[in-house]
Amino acid sequence: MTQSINRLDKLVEDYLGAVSYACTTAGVPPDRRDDLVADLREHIAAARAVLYQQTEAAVRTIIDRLGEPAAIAAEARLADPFETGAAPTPAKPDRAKPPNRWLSRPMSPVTFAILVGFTFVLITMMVLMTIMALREGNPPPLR
Amino acid sequence: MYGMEAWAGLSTALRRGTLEFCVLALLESEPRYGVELVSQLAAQNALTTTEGTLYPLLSRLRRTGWVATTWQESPAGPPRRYYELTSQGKEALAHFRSEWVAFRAAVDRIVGTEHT
Repeated sequence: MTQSINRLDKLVEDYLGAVSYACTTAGVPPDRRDDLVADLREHIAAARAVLYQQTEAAVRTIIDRLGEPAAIAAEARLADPFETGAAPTPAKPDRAKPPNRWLSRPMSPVTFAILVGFTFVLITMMVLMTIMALREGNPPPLR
Repeated sequence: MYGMEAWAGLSTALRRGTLEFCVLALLESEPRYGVELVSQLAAQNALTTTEGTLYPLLSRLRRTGWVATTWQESPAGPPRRYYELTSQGKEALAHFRSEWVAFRAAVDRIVGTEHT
């Protein structure tokens, strides 16, 4: 009898070991993994306590209903969805406002110089063309 | 064509974000201990969940502060950890209920399942 109980205990420990291993490979933090294994250990102990007979089949049923260690580990790996500031993604640049290239970036001195130069040339040309047009349009004054 | 994996993925996706509130609802009337709680949830085939996957979920709810646990003596075997709803959990459940009704109605309208 004692021997068979030990065998059932080993069954349970093997299962819990498999869950722990699955959690480790899935990247579940160690404290969370240990809490989970403790919860499952409690569950199995409570479920076994109300068994009519401690048989291997009954213990296997308890374990089977808990499910695949990998599935449990996958669930444990999920971040807390309702925690405030739960998003562990790195902070991205503020996308609240659409970027405005013309105003948000200070103009480089070279760009500024080119713009000023171009404007100056443009104004000079316009003035010259106006003067020439005036001269052509008006006949030279009588001497 | 979608394979069986996509079908399994669908039920996982649907479960995500709703199962937590099923747990809260089960705890609304009275505190329950782990074995009782997880067997009730896992018995719902449509939720396609195993008992073991509910413990990480319960742990999240505890960390969020929506459920609290207390130890109580058991008539058989070791002491049991009982889960109960906190006032924050009650608020969260009430909020979910109103969101869910609107969400369900919108999906029904679009998908064409209003009268099924």
